Amino acid sequence: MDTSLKFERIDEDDKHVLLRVYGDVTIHTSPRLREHLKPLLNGGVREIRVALEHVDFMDSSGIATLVEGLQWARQTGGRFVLSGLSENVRDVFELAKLDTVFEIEGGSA
Amino acid sequence: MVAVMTARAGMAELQSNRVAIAVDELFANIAAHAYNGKQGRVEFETCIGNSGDGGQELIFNFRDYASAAWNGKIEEVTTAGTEVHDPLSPGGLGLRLICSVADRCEHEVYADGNHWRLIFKINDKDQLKDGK
Repeated sequence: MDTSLKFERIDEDDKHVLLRVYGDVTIHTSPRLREHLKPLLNGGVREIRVALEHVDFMDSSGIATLVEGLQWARQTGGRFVLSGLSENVRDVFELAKLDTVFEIEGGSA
Repeated sequence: MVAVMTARAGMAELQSNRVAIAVDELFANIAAHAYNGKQGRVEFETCIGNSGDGGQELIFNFRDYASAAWNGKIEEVTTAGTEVHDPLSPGGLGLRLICSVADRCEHEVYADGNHWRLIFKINDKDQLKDGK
């Protein structure tokens, strides 16, 4: 299991940001995801897209981190979108019964 | 080790990932709740055994030596099912994932810690189709 996590942030304009995640999101790496997500949640953007096509494994700590984005969207009226979920990652969202709560774009990678 | 055992059990990738999730979540729960994030000893063993009904099962045993007992939380989750009452409150999500993917979750409180057992049925070709 990969213990590192890397990110690519693309500011499409001052209101729309894409955050691409590379690696496994686990209890060890999810604090890094939170570090990269927090500035976006507090930064006045209107839409955050989290691209997960390079994430093969995610546990509940990763989902909990993404729930913070969902809370931000509901509180501010912004959009928090997940995309590129692999079959395994999508399965975890389904098991947690959160696949219909998040806005998830596209089919399985 | 989990991947080796699920491969030996002939599990498909999706089921193998579910087993990995359950093992990962149980380790995380022991670390966070039994040991309160402090360093602690966990003994871990795994085997493939007969299930008693003609099939086989993949078993993971965890033994911790934490003074804090689990307070019956895993039993509460098991009996409560896996419904998400408030999706924006992710507390207990790890335990819900464990209970939704393992065929059995067992927990015993010892005088000097806890014993956990996760059991996954194998040789059940309908397992994934049934949503397990």
